[in-house]
Amino acid sequence: MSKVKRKKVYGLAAEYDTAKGVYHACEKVRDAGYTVWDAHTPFPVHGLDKAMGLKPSVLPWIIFAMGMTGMTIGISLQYWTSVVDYPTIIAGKPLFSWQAFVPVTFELTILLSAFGAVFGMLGLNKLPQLYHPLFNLPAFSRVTDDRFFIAIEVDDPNYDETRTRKLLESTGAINVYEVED
Amino acid sequence: MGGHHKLTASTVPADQVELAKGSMWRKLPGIGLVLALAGLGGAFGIHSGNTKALHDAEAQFEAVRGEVLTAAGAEGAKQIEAAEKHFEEAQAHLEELKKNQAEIAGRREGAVAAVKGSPTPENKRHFTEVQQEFSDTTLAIVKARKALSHAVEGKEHAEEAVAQSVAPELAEKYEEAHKAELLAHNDVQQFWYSYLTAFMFFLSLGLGGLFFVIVQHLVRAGWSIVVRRIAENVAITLPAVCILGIPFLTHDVAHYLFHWTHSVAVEADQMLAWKQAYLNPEFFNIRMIAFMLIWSGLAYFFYSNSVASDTAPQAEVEKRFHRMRYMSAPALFLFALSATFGVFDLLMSLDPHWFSTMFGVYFFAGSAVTIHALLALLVLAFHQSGYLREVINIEHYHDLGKLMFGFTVFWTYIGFSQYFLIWYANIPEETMWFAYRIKDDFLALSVLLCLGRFAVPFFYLLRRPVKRNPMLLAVGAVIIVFMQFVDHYWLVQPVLAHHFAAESGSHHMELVVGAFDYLTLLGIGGVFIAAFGYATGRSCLIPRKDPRLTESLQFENF
Repeated sequence: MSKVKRKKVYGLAAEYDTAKGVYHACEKVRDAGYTVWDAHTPFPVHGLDKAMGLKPSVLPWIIFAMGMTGMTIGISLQYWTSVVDYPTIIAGKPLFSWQAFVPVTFELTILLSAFGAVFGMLGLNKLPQLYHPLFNLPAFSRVTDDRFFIAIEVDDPNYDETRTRKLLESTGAINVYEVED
Repeated sequence: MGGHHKLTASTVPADQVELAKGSMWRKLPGIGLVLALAGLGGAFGIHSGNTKALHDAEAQFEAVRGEVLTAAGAEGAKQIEAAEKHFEEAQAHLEELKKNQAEIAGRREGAVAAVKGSPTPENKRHFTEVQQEFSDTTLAIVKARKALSHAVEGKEHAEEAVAQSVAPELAEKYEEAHKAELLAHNDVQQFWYSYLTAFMFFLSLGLGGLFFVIVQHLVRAGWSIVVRRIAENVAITLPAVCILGIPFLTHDVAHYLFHWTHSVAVEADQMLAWKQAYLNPEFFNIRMIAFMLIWSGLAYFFYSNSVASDTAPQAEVEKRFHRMRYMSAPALFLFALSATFGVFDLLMSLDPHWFSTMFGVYFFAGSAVTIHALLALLVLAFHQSGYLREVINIEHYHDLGKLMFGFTVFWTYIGFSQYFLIWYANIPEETMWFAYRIKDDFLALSVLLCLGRFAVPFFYLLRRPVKRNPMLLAVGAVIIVFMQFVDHYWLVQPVLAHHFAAESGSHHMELVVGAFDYLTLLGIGGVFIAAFGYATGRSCLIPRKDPRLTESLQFENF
């Protein structure tokens, strides 16, 4: 009747009950050389990015590139429409009146920068995500309340079930769970 | 958290926030006074020589003019007399029309009262007639002013024509004496234009400091408490700098600076005549005194309360901080209005035909970006001399950098909007102000302003690592403070260059940075440094009893 089904494992999740606990645990996981892992907290913890060894995000560069693209589009759009395609003299001013092009150029720079920021952030966070293995863990629901988690994935080159579990237990975790994928 | 230990209000080391006996900061008042004496002494020394030279040149010109009139004989005298008479007639005609208009205005009031009392057709007709008469006289006055302006020109032309009718040698002598007088007059004016430039630059630093202090109290900012005392010390330079503004209240100096103080020029110019109700020397002086009292009073209020709290018992400390927070909202109103109307008078009225309702905000935006740059530089100087280490850290630099960046964008937005609206509307008396700032030598200065105040600091300060490196941030801050001076030079000096180019007939505007510009900058800067140094030496380097000091010490950016 029971069919033995080999579980697919997502990784190991360690549960902590204080921000301080998860902070110092992150430092240990970082120092042990893990790369494919994440920390989950109910609120932003000051300096956690440093404790996790996170590199600065590439998001600012995406926003900058998008902004410059918007600027280029703004200038060329107006240049093409008012100088090349349909030249019209307005108020006796030159066809290429850069002053008049500034507001539209400015707005397009802002618009594409904002798009870059919002969609870049979503993309880098792999959002929207309709399914995440961590939600298979009933204890994980308290991450929006009073619990802190570290999850190390099996994809990490350093991952080894017993060694990783031992490491997490040594960081003062109140529980360490195996998470199904 | 954060891996390193941060100070709390009770663990701040005293030697970090109290100046040592022999500290170089204690020498600032002395250094400032020496600079002030050297700079202002030198500038006024050259200026008094120039004033004497102007009197000589005027006497010389009068003598040559006498010679020319004698040589020109009866025919020349008749020509000049005719022009003089024409001018006097035009003046008398204008006076008469003005008197007429006042009389008609009186009758119009009566007609209005009559219509209100009993709105009969007859009364209404009478009112319409008086109203028509009033409009006709107004139009006649506009024309009479134009005629007066022609009569002034006629006088000059008559002189020139007579000077050209005499022997070529004498005519040349006349021409030379005339030119010498113009040049001498320009030298005297140049001193006051340079003085005003330097005055406005240091005034804008003090006003920036005042704005910073007011706004930190108003928004109940936590991060800035450790740098607020430095800003208070910058703001308290205002009373000292304002004293240097007293010469502008005198008749002679105002005459060299402000075209609208010349009564004949105002009479012959309808636009200036309309503005006379506001732009006249008496009202100008009243306003100036009021603004200087407001600025000095606000600076003193925040400075004295904050310094007194350093040594006060706990209950009084809270009362003082509460008082400052309570006063910050009305103080901001007072600051905004006085700064706006103050620069209307001191800077905008240099070219009295021109007006821009955004001008006050333009000045404010420049001061706001500069005060954050100046604070970053002063903090760095304190760090280099061994003070405020750990008390002010990279997080505070980062915030100063963010505000430098933000206000750079704000300055650009305001500066461009002011230009853009005037460019689009294309009304001569408005575009003229920009037109002579992109003419001849001044085009390069305008381009420098756009690059140095927008493009360079914008892209330079855009990245986070630059704002979190004190040395890199200081480079940006130096650029910003330097450009604040360039901005004020750009606002003030083209007016004189434009005027001189027209008067001398060369029609080429020259940009010459001369001894007066350096000396007045040094001199007024000396007064600023002395006042700042005196304030710095008098008290603790941070408001050490601020109830939320720990919040500022432990502040961290995400």
